[in-house]
Amino acid sequence: MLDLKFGQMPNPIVKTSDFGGLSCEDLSELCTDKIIGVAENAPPAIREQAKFFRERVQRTVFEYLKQAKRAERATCIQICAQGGEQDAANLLRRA
Amino acid sequence: MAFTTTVMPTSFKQQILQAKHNFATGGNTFKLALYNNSASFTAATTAYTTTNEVAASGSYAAGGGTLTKQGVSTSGTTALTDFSDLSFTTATITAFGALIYNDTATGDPAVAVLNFGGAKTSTAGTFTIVFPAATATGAIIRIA
Repeated sequence: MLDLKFGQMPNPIVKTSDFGGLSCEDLSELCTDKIIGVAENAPPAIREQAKFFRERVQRTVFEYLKQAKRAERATCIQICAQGGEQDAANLLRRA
Repeated sequence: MAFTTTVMPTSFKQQILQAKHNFATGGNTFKLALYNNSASFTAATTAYTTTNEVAASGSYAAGGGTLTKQGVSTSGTTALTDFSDLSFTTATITAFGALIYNDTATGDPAVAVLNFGGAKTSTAGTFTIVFPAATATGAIIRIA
């Protein structure tokens, strides 16, 4: 008999935010989870190394997400200002 | 009733053998709809329903959002497929679970029931469903 087995479905993770988008912390965590997975049955030494590497990747992703956020906001401020929407530009600048 | 489990419907397993679902790039369109706690999906669930679906809000519309397929691949002796994370923005939503279904196939057949394990709420914010990494042990749909 040939046995075709579906793997057990993992429980999904849901991230939510109020009055705005997800934070850089949330996004960097999600991004890192996609890049690095550490098997629970990996040897302890390898697991520790992987964990350390994972933390470094997450910190790096977090920093660049923050920069991307600042850059995008600066672009939005310029679009508002050049479109004569100075109040909107100021709102974004202060947010 | 309520969401009690994350499960692959029996009808989906049958339909895989009947070649009703195509997860390959350029294949069928799959969607994910969100539900409140009155929904009672189980392995016996067969298709998408509007009953107990959360109300439209922000970028969430009736029928849910279209999933971006990541194609079909293999890892060792396991075949797998996965989806990109799905986000609904500027949305006020409280959902307890979701249903993935095939929007291309006749009758919108169910693919997977997802239990969030409790109420998940966004208020004028972002509601993101995160799919696990596409690996032989973690991908959302795997055949070993």
